[in-house]
Amino acid sequence: MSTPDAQGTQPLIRARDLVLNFGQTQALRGISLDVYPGEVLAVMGPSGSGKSTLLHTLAGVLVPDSGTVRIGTRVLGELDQATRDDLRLRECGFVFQSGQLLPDLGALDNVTIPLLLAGVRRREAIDRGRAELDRLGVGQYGARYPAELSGGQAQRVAIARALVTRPRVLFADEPTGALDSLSAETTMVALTDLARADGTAVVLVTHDARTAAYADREIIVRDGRISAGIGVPLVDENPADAGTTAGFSAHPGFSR
Amino acid sequence: MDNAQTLLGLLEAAPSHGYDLKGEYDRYFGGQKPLAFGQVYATLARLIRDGLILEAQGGESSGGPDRKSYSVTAAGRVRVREWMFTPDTPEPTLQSNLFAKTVIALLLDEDAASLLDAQRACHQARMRELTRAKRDADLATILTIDHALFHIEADLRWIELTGARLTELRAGVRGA
Amino acid sequence: MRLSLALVLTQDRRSRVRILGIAAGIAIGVMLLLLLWGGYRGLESRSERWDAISRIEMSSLTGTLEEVEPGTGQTLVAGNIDRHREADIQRIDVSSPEGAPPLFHVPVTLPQPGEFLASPALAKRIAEYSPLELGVRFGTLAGTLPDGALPTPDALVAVVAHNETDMLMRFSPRVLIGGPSGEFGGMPVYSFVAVLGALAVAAPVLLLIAIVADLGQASRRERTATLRLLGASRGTVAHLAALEMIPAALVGVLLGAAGAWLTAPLFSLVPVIDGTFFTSDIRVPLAQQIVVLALVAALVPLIAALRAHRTDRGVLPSGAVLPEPVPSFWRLVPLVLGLLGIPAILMMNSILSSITYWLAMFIVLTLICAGLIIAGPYLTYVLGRVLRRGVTSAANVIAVGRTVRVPRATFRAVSGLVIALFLVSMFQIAMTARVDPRAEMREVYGADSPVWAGVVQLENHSGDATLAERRREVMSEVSGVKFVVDVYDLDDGFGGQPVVSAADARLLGLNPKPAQEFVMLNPTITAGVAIHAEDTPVDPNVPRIPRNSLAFTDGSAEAIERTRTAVWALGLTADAVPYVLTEREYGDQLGYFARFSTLASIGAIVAGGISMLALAVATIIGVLDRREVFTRLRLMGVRAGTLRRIILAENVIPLIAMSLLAALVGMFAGWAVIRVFSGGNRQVGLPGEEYAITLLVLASFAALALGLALFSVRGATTNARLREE
Repeated sequence: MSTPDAQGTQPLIRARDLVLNFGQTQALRGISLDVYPGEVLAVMGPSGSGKSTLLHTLAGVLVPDSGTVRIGTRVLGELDQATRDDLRLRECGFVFQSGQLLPDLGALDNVTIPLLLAGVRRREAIDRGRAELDRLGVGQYGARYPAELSGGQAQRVAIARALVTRPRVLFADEPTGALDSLSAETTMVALTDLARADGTAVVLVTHDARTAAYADREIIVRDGRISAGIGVPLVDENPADAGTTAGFSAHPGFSR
Repeated sequence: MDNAQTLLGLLEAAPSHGYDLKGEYDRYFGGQKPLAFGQVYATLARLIRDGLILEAQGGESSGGPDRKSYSVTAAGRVRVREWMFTPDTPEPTLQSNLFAKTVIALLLDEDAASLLDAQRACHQARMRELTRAKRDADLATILTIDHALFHIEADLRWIELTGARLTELRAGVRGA
Repeated sequence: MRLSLALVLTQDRRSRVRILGIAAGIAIGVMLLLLLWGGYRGLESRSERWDAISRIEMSSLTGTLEEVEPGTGQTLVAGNIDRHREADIQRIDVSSPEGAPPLFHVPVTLPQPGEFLASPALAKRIAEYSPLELGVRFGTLAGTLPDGALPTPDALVAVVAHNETDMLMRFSPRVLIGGPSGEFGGMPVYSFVAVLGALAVAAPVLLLIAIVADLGQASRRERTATLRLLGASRGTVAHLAALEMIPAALVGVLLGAAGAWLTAPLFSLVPVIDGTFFTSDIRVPLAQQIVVLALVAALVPLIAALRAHRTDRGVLPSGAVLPEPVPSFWRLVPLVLGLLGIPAILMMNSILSSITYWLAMFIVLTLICAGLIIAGPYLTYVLGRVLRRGVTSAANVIAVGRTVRVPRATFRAVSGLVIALFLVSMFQIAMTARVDPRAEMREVYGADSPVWAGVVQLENHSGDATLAERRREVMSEVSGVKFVVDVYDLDDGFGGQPVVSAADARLLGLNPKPAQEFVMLNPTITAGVAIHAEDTPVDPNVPRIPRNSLAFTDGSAEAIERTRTAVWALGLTADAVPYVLTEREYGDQLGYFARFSTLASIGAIVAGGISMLALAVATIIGVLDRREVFTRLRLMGVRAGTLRRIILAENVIPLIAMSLLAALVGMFAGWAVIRVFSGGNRQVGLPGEEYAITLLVLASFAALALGLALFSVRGATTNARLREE
């Protein structure tokens, strides 16, 4: 089992004691978690367990009621909305289940949008976008509109758009949710291969075990808590507050 | 399915006579294939030999042919937990054993969800290994691995569903 | 079953808010409908009342059939258009044995001889100026005329009572026969406006209601898809749409009626063609209003059902945006034909006869107008294609992408404004070509004399020498009048040559030879050209007929009005009205353009306003359609401000481009209209401030619409929505 070495590497994202309530609903109830540079972390759990909320909180879209998220050296809670938006735009990539491509733009134009938003010149953005589409094997579909692409092609265009800015972390929310088995496989291979090649960390939210199997390690979120994790230690401090299970610790490769 | 551990678990839940023990076992797990009396006594003898249970003359007789009552020793309790929380390697017969562990855990008021999670982690670790093995493999290997992956996934789904039904199951076990 | 389903579906708060919004839209539509219809009715009743007055005018034929027989109890009338400073006054002199002769549609009791009744506006005017300037003209003010006798609240009307002897002596009266006819259509201009009004009433309101119904449709799309998936038929969905609209229609109709009632006093102040309205005129009578409101209330659900039926996309989910087919090049044909038609018509100037010429022009203008609408989507598409290469920012790339992808929808949102701009530009350009006849005369005959602006003229149709003498006496006495000159016609059989006495000629600054008793003047003086003497000697023995008395004042308005007042007050008008040459408007077809331009601007503002509403709704629908994608862009770190810039750019780019095109084509058409209507010898100028104001109003409408739409971006992409992901 090859997992990134927790020792000696600073976590890219460090989340501590995240609590978030939506009115009466307790979405997150004290989640702590680290994401290391270049690793692929799967976040699993049943529907409504809070995994998407966790992803949005890690990305700074949602602000936790208490607890902190640190990306690199910056604490998200201390940044204003505009700076957080900018951080997401420049250092994070996003891939969703579907419906993320702008329907009125061709695949290539869609990929250039994050670059243009980051201030890259159109000419250069088109060149880089084309290269990125080629890297994902969908270079020949640059002129097609999203409606004219298959689900797998559209997802690969979306991955190209997410990776074209060379983000430090890629957030993928059920990226294979709308795909058949084979498309899901090609999509996940492309996503993890390229992210690893770029040294981009991936936070992969899924409820599909075969998709999660592309990750280096995974955590399971249940009722707003991390109920189990597999791989490297989730948190290298304060083990007492990390979970509710008790009474066993002898199992190798498995800790709270 | 590990009958010895299962009987040990049942005894920890409630010290019992051999006859009642078989009844208990059959009620939870014997659905299609009830346990033979001979097998029960042979297993009990082995457990006594290993120092996991104690034989005690029961005070009250329920009128059955066997008046001996059995209870679990401290070593027996440790053994039950070791068995319960050690995930099994994914294999076709896994389900029945896992089910037994879950029921025993519920009977003993142990954290059944954790043991399911542990098993699940083991399964997923295996899936990651297989997924990694698929890389650069030839098509025949890939197809074989795919088959294995789907089987493990089926197990995982069962684990997930059982996890979601634990409350229901606990009520059933308690009421029994 | 369907009713209960509809009730269930309208339970949640969001659909209640939507229904309220739709009700507000319907209310605005109904208010506009009632006001426009009221305005149309107002024009109609105004026109009837105008007819009553104009039939009494001297130029009218009514009453000439019967000879005036003094002492037989006839009602004698003399109607004239008098003038005070810049305003026309309808003056009716009347003598009658009856207390209330049938002058107007409403009975008006005549005052005692020597007294007069004035319209409120005239009474106010009289009070504002010195009596010598205006009040004395009519006699003693005995009361005001009722509204029913007045075409508009700002009409200046005076009814002056006389006894019969006085009437016969001072005026050349006619006999009043019968009351005013109840028929409509005395003035062709008004019937034209009536037709326009009828069209203007129905079209925009139906459009508005359709737009509002669409808004409901867009936000319901997901639900519709679900219902259809559950097995509801097209009919059921349409039926539901109709049922849902009923409360909105009822509330909207009542609000609209209240709004129209409350705002009528405000809107009655808008001058249309030749005056403001009576509030009571533009308030639709209750019975008619009930019929209209009931019709609208019934129509709204019907339209909603039809739109729902037509736009039903089956079980397609909301995210599935169907691409539009690329608009075809052939859409340009009508517009190009129309534009080519203009030079063609100008070249055929000499070949076509007047009526076919006009007809051809009408066809060409219609082609251009319709051509703009037909060509719009194609031009939008081409614009997008051209811009696509050049744009650099993300917002513009996305905006232009949409322009290329859905050119029809993009253009549809701005089409109303395009037409409004075309029409208003055409009218406003045409209006700048109002003819200055004196300038024409100047061109033909040389420089004119500035003194004509200060000369009060009085014609002597009967040639009565005593009358001329008395007029001269009276006018000479008025302070501010420098001198009075009598102009004669030489009765030598050739006619027409104006002649003045040597003394008068010297007053005019001419230098006649001592021997001459009379001096012949240039015939163009009556047209305002500077006076000079002709060389032809005048035979003093040839009889001279007094034709004109010219009072040369110091040019001040006070002196001019005092002169007029003196003539009127002393009963020296006979069958003529004192006038100043420069205030005489020459009847010209182009004058109509000036009168219609305000109406065109109002129409443009109404059409533009509704169009902007359409723009706002289309934009909101565009945002709702892409809610999912926008939410995700927000997740990616695209700021709300950037999203707003995208929405703004995708509306502003086609809006500006198409508006520019419409305005240019409109100006070109306006220029062409002037060339055709004037026979090719008029120039147009730069449009005036009314154009600027109209453009400003339209621009602020657009800003408002976009602001409204931008507001909806916030709603579509809030954190609450993120949670739903």
